[in-house]
Amino acid sequence: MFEIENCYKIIFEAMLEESVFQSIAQRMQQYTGAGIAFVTGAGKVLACSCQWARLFPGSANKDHLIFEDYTAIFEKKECGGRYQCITPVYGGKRTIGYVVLMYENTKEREAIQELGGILAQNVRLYFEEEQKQYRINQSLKEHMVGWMLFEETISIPEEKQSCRDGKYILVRMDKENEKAGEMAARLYGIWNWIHTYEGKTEIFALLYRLREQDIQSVYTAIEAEKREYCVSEVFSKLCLCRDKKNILRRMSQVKAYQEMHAMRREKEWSMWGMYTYTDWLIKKAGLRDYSVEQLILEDEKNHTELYHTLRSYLLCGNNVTMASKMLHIHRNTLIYRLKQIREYMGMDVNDNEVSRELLAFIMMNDIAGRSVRSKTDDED
Amino acid sequence: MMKIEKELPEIFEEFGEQRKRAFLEIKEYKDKGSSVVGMYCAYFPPELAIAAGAIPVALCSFAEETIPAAERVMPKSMCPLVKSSYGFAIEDKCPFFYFTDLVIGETTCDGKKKMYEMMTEFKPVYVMELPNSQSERGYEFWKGEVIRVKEYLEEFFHVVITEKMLRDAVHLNNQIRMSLKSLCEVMKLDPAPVLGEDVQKMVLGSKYRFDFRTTPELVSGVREKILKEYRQGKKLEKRTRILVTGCPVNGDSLKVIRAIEQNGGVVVATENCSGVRAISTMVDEDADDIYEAIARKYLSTGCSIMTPNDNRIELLGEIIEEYHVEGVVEVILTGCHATGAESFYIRKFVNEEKHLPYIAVDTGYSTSDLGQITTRLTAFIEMIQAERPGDKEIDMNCCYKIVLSGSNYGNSKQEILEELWKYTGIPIGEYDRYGRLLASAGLEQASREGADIKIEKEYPGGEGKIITCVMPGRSEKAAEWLANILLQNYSMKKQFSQEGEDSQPDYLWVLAEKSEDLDKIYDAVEKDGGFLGQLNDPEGKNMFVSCIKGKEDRNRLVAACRKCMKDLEGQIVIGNGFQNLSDKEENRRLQERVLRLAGEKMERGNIRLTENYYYELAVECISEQMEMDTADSEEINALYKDGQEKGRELCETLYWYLRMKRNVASTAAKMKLHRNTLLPRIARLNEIMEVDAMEGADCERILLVMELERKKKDRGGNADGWVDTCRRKEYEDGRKA
Repeated sequence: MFEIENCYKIIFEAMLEESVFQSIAQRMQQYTGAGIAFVTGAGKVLACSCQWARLFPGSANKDHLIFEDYTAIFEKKECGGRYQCITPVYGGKRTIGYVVLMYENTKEREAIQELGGILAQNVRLYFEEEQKQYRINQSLKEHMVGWMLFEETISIPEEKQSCRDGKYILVRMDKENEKAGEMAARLYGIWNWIHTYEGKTEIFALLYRLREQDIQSVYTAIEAEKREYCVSEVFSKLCLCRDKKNILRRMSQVKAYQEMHAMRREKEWSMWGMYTYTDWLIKKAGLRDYSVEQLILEDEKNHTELYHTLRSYLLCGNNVTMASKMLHIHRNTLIYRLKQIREYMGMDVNDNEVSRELLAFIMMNDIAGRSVRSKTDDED
Repeated sequence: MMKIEKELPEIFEEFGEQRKRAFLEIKEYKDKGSSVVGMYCAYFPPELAIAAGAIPVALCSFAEETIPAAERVMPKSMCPLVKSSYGFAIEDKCPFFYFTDLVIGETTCDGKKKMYEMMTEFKPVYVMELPNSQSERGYEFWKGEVIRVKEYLEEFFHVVITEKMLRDAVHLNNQIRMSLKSLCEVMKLDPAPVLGEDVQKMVLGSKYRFDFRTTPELVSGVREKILKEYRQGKKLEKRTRILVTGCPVNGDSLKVIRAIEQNGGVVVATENCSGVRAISTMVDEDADDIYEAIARKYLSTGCSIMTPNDNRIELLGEIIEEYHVEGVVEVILTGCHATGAESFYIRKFVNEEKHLPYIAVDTGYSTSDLGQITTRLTAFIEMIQAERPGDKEIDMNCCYKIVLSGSNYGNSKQEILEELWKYTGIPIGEYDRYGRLLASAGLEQASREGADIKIEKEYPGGEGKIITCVMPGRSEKAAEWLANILLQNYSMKKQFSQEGEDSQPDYLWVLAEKSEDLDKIYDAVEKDGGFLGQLNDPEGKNMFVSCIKGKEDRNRLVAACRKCMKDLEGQIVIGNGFQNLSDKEENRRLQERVLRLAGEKMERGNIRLTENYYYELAVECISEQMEMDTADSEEINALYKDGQEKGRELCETLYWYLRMKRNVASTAAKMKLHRNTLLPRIARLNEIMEVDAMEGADCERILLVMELERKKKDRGGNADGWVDTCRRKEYEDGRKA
């Protein structure tokens, strides 16, 4: 048995340390013999003692509750012959986190419950600090569903796929944008069935129960918002959420060389997004192309737009008609520019191989942000 | 020393007019009972006449006006000098000729010989027999002639010429010559102090001053005045320095000198018998045999009638060096065949040995060709100015250009300094903080020529210093300016290097399958010399190259490698030029990838360039990092609606069709299918996804997804087809349902 008074001392001492939660968890376990974990309202494991970690290694490693552990902890009272004592931490009127205690001896129940209460009171401020990064108030359960959909690698059990029918669209909002929370809220005006998942830097909104006939109107409505949403294509398998998340994240990494406040749709942006993986080539391995550099230099010197012209032309599959339409210039102008480009670069951009390599380099170059030009108007 | 009170232009004008005033003077002398000896050529020693108590006077021979009179008896094709001389004589237009008691001639050119013959009809003429070459026998013979003419003069004027009298006359003449020579030498200054025409007027006019004893003092006074004013900054602007050579120039033929000097040139010297040639050597006053000394001096005159005329070439070379001549103009009087013929040697000498431009002006005394001459000479001078790399009055902008372009091209300090030295002629040295010489140009010459004024500029922070020297006779300003430029450049470079400006040359890797290939390339490129970069010794299968200065440099390397690898089996990769040395290892890994990709791609040739693998690199890079399912594409999945076998075929077709930029012919060629086999498939693709109506960017996206799946398949992720089994199953399920 342990003395509650001594616990105060331990808490107080631990709070002087650098990593408060970890110190409390370790020392308290040493003293009381109970496994301890601090879990935020978003499912994040702030700290846990080694005993707890032994029981729930998945969550401990990821510093986040995994879905499996969530059900084990919150939906059952007992686990592995040990009892659970979960004390919610309240911030305002809401639960912002949980102190999870595990004990073997039922006689200790009351003492443990008291200890839970003391701990919850003392760590409240830290939890509140932690809570500030979230823009949307969601319950732990909702967070856990999001976590499961977007982060976990294991396939989702059939019964958990509650919104099985219909198709899905995933929308990503960057938290760098001050209005990310508002943007997420506005989505509710467009579609009723939305599940949001908030990460550290981004908010995802999964639109579900979409029927074939709704899809077009949803896209149009999102576009009409004129905000920086990254919107995926329609998909019909929940297991694709993680992939879609990745590609949307990549897409938003592409530096905006377009006008602001525009929706980015996967169809148009996924290639750019995929090319963000090539960062290494240019940024780390110093990949450069003298011919393209020369073209950019000439552009700067003469205030021309040859680089942009070349990119658009290559993106149009070397089709003069389409490229001139996209660039809003007469085809003769385009042909003249292409002649100039050929002169400056000393290569035939119409050659299939050359144009493929060039386009790849230009994509990488743009992604690496070395020569992104502000004024462009393709893909409109 | 005589104090010159008058202004220089006035003095020059006075000397120019001396001949006219001398008409009156000579009359006075004549009235006083002096004898007058007339002469034409520089071979006659006037000392003899002076010793005989007579006044030697050069007879008129430089005017157009008397030529028609001469042409009545002489062939028109004769040289104007002879015609003019004879015209003056026969028309009695030359007052000197009128007062002359005796004319001394020499057997110089054919025209003159005949002229003297013709003159004997109305004037006493004594003709000295001039040998045709300056050999020892010639000198011996000429000495005899000098003695003979002395005896003739004694007899003619009823005087006795003692050796003392002769030596006195020689001394006096030497002084006059010396003073004129040093006057001419003021033109060695750069920029020239006065016009060549003015000096010429002085030299020619001095012949008509009959108060010989005061002449040296007067000329020296003028020289002092010129130098004094020069020091005060009164000088000509920078002009092209021209040497006039050939036939004597005076009177009407001064038009050539005027044409030069009115069009941006300055005649710094005239190499002819009325210019430097006659005054450049002295008679040896201390010689035991004064007659021999006189003979040697006068016969050595390098007129073109001599054969061979080596003395002229020799003197010409000296003048070109001493007077910093930039171009040579030869004046050939029409009809002077000796000079005309000799111009061949002169041109050769000037062009090939002195590397200077040369022009020959064939003219007479008439002004009719003045326009033509002016045009030709103006062009000649402009050509020199354009060619001249370094204006001696240094254009500072050009120095900036040298420094900037030098450092931009990554030339070494030594190269830049040498170029500056070549251009400015200012010796420069750069020292480091410990006072060690880093680079220098022209410092040896500076110490040889005794340049003692040095301008030192310390680099900020005591990092070293720049030293420029002021060569003798050059202004300090330019040297100081140059030092400042270099200092600025130093600070600028420093600033750039702090800001990490990309003025540094690039690096690149060359990788090979076989290390022995690299050794061969290394040897070949090192020997070749066309490539300016720096090759490091190959380490195994890698070779690091630095100092790549852009595209051209790399292309040179590529060309060198191509040449070297022509007969070899292995493959090599030439990487891209990268800027930061910190990227070195990563870039090598990148090139290794290229080498591997190239091996997979199976192409002809064995030189691989990174720029041909951007796409492959990108695809690989993406596929490695991206989890495959992300590259999900509804379009591709839709292809499997028709079943697996059909779907794979369509996929294959779509892939190549997109890769070939939707060109049916090249797709068919690539897939080794007949066009007619291909067309239905494309029609099917159009049914499913309207591939022909897709935007280019869409095509690229789908193609990229397919590339990624291909990559995944290659890596053994799924040996079974294009699409993930699970997803294909889903579609098949969907179809059944």
